[in-house]
Amino acid sequence: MDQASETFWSSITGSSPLLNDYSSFSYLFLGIPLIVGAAILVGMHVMRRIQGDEGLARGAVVAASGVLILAFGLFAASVFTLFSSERTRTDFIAHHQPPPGEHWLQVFDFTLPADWSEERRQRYQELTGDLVAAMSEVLSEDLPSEFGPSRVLHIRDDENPWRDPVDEKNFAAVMDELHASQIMWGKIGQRDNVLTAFLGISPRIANGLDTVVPLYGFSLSDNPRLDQQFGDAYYHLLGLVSLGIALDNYQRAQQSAGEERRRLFLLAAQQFIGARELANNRRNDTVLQKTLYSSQVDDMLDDALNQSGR
Amino acid sequence: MKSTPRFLCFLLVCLLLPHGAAAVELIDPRHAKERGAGDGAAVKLVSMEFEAVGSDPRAKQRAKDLHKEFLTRIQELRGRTVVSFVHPPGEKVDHFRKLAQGVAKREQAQMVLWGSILVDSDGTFLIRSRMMLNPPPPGVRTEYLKSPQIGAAGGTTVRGMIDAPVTQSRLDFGTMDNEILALVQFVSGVLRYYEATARAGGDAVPWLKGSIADFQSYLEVTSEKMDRSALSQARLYIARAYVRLADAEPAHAAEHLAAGGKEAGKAASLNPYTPDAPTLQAVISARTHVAFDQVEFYLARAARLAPTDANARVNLALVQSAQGKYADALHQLDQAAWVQQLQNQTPPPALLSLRQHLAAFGKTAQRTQSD
Repeated sequence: MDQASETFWSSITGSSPLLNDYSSFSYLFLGIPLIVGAAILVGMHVMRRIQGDEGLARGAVVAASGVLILAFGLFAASVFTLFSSERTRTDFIAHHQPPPGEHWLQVFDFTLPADWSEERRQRYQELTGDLVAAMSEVLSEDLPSEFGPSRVLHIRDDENPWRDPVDEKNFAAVMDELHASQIMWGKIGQRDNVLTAFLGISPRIANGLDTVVPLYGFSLSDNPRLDQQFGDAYYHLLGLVSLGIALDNYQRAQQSAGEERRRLFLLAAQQFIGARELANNRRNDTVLQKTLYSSQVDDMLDDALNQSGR
Repeated sequence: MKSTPRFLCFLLVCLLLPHGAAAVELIDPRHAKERGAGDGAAVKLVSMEFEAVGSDPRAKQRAKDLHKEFLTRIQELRGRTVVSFVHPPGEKVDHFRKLAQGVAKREQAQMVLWGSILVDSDGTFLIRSRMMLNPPPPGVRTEYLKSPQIGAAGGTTVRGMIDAPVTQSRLDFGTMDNEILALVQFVSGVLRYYEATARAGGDAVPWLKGSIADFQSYLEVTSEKMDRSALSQARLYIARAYVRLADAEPAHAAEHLAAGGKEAGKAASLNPYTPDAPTLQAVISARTHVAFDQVEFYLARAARLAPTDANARVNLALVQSAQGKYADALHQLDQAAWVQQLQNQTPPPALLSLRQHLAAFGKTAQRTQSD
């Protein structure tokens, strides 16, 4: 494709974000002018007829009606799209909620610099695939059975039913809809191509812990398996996922009653200790000090032991 | 939840009732049989060829070389049975831990070793190893006789026991660079310890000393930054070996126990989350006649670190009853029975019987004090 054609096509496809911006206006905002405009047109026509005039010129009525029908059609199409995207989101949520007793870590596609070429995006997709595979392998091989089944799910941008990419602003709402305990997202630096990942802990279970945990940065030229399976990220992943499972059970215990409450507190206490033992080799790590080895977890552990009967 | 398949391996309590009442003796029927590899059975290790991560042919070659090197070094252990396992070429393995468990079961091996190798951009071979012990070797234990002070009303003598099994059946080593010498030393230390536990008296001594020497070599080449948890495990094995040496060489018992106590203390600092360390410290403290408050402190710590381990709770309950803390002891026994039920295990009749007797003593002690 020559330069001129490329510019032409990019200007066409580039209008899509603009339309997206307008589509974020509320349907009430779009619908009211449509109704008011139609009412004024019909009103003027009727008034003129009452006053004995012929009303608006036939051509004007036809043209205006055509515009109104077109506008109404677009409005209806927008409403249909809204319902359709709502349905897509509902279906997505239904398929991406962990079943009871399972822990899923959903990894959303990282936000890429806008000026990346298709080739770089393709390379990124391959690396993300490797990263998620490495994370899955760590959890399936090395997370002890006392933490129950766990999965790592990669959610690609084209699957993401939310309008915006997941980030620090909307992660809590996304987690709430997904009933997720932990999700991961990230962004790639425009200049340095370094990926910075974040782990979101659901405010529902955080109990005073930071809900956004900045994890690490790694260069896209590195093999993702290097750090995930042989480096510090291994301990971050194991320690934080096992902490998430313990927090989830602690929260469930708080909401339970009777014997089940006591059982869940016992389970949470065992899991808090087990999580700390898993990451013991990096217990002085900054990320883990603020989370797994924090005073908040000390307090929860004490409480869980007390509530389970000591 | 952590399973407690070894719960109440041994429970011997002889409670001499105050005021000359009849002595009651509860003996767990399994107490005479020690757990683990024991019984003179040869120790068997399955060594699996490490997985080469990525497509770098250097990693594949290094995996083959390391496998051969490991087998050569470990075969130097006279009389050991080491089984080599190499995956069929081209076969994809979904779950190495499950595969390792399956191979070990098929080979009836107590130990299985596997791992992975990756070459980084500098050409350094990064090695991660995994080891499973099934069953783990026997730990150590000690009996004690304690007459708690119940003032002028007399006392209740408790003959109890502290059982300190090896609860860690999986060892996930930290990343090693290039060399596997440290790994060979660690595995060799565990092998010799297994062998020692299958022997009695003086026959065990060379194996115990060999095990200690192997682990000491491991400590020399492994830094805390590299693998704090494995260092803790190594020191725990050394401490257990010293406790066993104290039995095998009574003339040197005091020095062996002192050395074991130091190692257990260091193990607890390296990994403050393993219940094995405080339980071992309690065993050594009881054997060196340290104040019982301290023994109780260690066992309470172990029970806190392993809240789903009924064995840890029974250890604590017996020491608490020896301290005259009957209500606390009863609570721990109730918790022990409860966690067993949660794990679909039936509390042994000996535990229930012990509970009844403790409850009776508690009432008697209360009456005596109020009189």
